[in-house]
Amino acid sequence: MVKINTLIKQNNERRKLLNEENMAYYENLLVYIRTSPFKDDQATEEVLVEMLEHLLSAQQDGKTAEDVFGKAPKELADEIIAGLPNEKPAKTAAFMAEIIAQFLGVFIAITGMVTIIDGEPKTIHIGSTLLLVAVQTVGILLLIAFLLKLLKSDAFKQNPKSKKMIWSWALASGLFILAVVVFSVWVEPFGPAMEVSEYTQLIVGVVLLLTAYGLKKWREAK
Amino acid sequence: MSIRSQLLKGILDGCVLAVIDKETVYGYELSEKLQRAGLKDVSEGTIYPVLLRLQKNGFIAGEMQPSESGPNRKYYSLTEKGKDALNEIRTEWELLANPITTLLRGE
Repeated sequence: MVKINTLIKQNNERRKLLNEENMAYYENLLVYIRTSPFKDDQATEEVLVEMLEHLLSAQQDGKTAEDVFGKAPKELADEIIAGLPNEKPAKTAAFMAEIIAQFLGVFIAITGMVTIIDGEPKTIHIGSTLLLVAVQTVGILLLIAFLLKLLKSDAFKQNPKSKKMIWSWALASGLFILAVVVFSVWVEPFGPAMEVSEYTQLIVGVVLLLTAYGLKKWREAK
Repeated sequence: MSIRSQLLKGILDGCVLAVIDKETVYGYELSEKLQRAGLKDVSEGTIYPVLLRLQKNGFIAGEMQPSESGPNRKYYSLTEKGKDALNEIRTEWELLANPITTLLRGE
């Protein structure tokens, strides 16, 4: 079996050989199919490479992407997505855990460094801290779901609204950061208090980042 | 959708299986063979949903391999289950094709 990374690399390299018109058509298909969540990555990248190689051969014979894949690319893409096998649940779970661990790891490590610079142990209230973690976890998953939806909705548009898309994305990210700030500043600390040393936070953050890295390696090896 | 492509839709899986049964092919070859057999109406892109479906059903197995000319291609071959399915489609087609031809000719 050819590995996913090899397939993605092949796709990136070979795609450059498409002419402008075919490239535009193909990249719409690619974005639309790749942004479908919970589909088996290997099968997705395989069919994308197959279609690219098909288009490249057809291009040499003087055919256009529309000749090959028809005038209704979205319908074709939907049929392809329907035919793709679903991702194994364990892999989906690992991917979500990876994203959450990575994000929380960065956040906790950075606040940990601030604590170290302060040079004083920090008091943590378990109740409010867990609430903050929960808000961040839900927020980051919503944010990613929103980004996928945005990317998908823009494929196949006559005039891609990239500007509008960037603004929607900025707005959503802004709202998310605002929510986190609001929660961390205005929510009264509650729950049992716990004193942590200067380095504990940083260590927890690094452990989370290592966990995320481990999950990534596990997913790629599968 | 034209009448021809509607008719074709039900039997396309069988045609794809029949091509792959003869020899291992990759996508582009498959569509060329279908075209050369006279099925000009099969839009080349439509073979990909069909190939995915046949893989899901376990009728064909696809394997990515480096090709002679360089790029990795996915080569398809028929599984035992696929051979059985093809035989069944062949039998069913025979049972339908003759009476329908006779009827439609108005003989």
